[in-house]
Amino acid sequence: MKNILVFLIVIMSNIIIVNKSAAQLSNYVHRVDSLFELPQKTNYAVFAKGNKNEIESTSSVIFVFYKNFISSQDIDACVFTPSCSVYAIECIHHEKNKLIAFMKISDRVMRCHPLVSPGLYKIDLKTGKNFDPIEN
Amino acid sequence: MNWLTKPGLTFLAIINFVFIHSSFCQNLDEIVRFSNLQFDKGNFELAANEYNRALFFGYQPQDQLCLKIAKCYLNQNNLEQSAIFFDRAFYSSTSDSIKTEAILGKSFSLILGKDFMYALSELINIDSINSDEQSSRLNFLKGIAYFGLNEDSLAESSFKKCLTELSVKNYFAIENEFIRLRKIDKRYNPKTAWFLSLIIPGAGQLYSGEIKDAINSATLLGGLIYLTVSFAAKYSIVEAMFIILPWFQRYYIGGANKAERLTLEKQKIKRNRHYKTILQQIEASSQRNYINIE
Amino acid sequence: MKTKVLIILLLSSFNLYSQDFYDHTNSYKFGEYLYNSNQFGLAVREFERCVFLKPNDRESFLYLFKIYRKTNAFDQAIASYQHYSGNLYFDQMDIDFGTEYFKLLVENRKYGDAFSFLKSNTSFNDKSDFKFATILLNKNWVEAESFKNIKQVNNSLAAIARQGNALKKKSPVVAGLISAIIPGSGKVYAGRWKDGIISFIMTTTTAFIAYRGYNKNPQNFYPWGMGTLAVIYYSGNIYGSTQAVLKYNKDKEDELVNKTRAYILSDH
Repeated sequence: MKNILVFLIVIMSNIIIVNKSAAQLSNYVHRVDSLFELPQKTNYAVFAKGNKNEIESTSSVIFVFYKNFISSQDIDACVFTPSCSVYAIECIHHEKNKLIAFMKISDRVMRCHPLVSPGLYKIDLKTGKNFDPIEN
Repeated sequence: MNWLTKPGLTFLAIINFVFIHSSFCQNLDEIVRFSNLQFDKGNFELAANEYNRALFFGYQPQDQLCLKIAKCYLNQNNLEQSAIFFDRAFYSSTSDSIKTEAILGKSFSLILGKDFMYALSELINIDSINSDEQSSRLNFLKGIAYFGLNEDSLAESSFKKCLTELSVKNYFAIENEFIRLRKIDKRYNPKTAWFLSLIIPGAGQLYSGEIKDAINSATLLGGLIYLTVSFAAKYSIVEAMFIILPWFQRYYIGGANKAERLTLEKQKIKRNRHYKTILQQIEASSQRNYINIE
Repeated sequence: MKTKVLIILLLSSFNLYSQDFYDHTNSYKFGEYLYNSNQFGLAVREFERCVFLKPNDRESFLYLFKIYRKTNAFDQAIASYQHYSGNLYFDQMDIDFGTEYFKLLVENRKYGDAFSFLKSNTSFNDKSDFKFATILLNKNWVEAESFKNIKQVNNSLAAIARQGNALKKKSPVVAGLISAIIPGSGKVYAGRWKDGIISFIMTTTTAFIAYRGYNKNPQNFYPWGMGTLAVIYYSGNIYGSTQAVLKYNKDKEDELVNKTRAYILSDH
């Protein structure tokens, strides 16, 4: 009788202890589950939304085509964040005077070269490139 | 007024002191009990607040409170503060078990922040293991850190160590996963992909299994070659050289780089898939362990 | 004598027995600890309780205001001040709240508001440092030179004012004009000679290719395409030169503004 009691106590305590450890480890497992997940790719179609006129919609179509089929095959050449193409599409969407938008874009393309002097722009920490949004 | 003698007063003073002290402690105990309840319920912000209060008003032992606060912050994904409090727990504690617990916690928060090297250096410094459960957690964290640093064989032995004896099936399942994991590096070699794309544009992408990208690259470069030839025929070779060739060269190298990048990505995706299976095996083992005994 | 001792002992015991960790004094102390260990989210709870227990507790309100400033929660800071004073008369703010509010405005780059706030509030009458700093933040270098209490102002601020007056601004019109004559020269004038050279090369090369193609065969499409590109580059180069000069001027001034900001926002 006594033996059975001791046995029962041991079993019970085992259940409690092991149960706790299992719970702890499985808590750990759920936290680290998505540790090596690849970051989501940017969906460039987002930049092509909200077109108000023909210039904007044509540019959007060209932009999406360029990003998906041409720029995707390119070397990582642009020295800016956001890249020249994103800058261009944002300029066309946000600048009311399209002539100024085109001048801004062509100026940006001419500034995009590997000889950029350090310190001229802020460095974007995420990409390590020169930060030059359209507001600049 | 006879009882107002010296011994009588001393007695009163002692009673007074004990009374105050016990009431103080009881109050703090209550706060900690309340915080424990909130912690178990998952109200981590409230729990952190109350633990902090107990800590500030002098609850002893401090180390356990610090540990709890750190865990609250860990659960709220505030990795910076959680590391601070794990450190505090470590330095305020004299118990080996809690010191180990603090290091385990800190390295866990470091692993969540993907600082595998730092986490590993913390884990290696652990010198006392106090329970099977702690040791399996230590090996689990080591395994992830090694996996993150691409040290596959070290990761394998660590992951295996965190299984219990009962789970032979999981042991071999993990071994199997690692055998397949080692084949990934051979099957998806970024250098091979890069080289293949240089010989035939698009071949590297095909090698990494991205047919859409392969067609894209081949068409683009074919188009550029056609443009160069037609330009040379229509105008002059010099014009073609100056206007089209730089672009061709750009997309030629770009295509090869893309093939390399795609292969690396493929490696990571496959590795992630195996990683998840390994985690499932470990989880299954720890749960079945429980069921078996029951 | 003995009775007195007894009474004191008894009283103290009652006092401590009723010590509640959630009462005003303890919450305040605990809040201070949380504030000093940078756990702002938790400190807010404590001070909010202090404020609830003692609606006139100025110190707790001040801490709340400070926390909201440090976490840059502009609206909440204002709301907590309104809760404290019952109104939003900024010209009646006392010096401690006023200093925090001033820093909040500077932090949020509302320099004009900061200036008018100091002007309207009488408790800042002898704070010449702050007044002087707002003039600098609004880039009124000339006005700073003629500031009447300039001798009482901190040396580093006075130095910033002197630098501001000595700034040599460049003219965007000149940059645009010389860029129209020689592409890229405007950028060299703005101090970006590498950009200038690239601009020059890109504009002239496209123009040259267009010219050569046109001379060979004017009916072809490609010289016209290249010509259009050359025009776009040329206009972009003029626009870019003026922008570069404007940015040059702005950067020089912003450098001084940032120095002033750092002076105000540092905890001295």
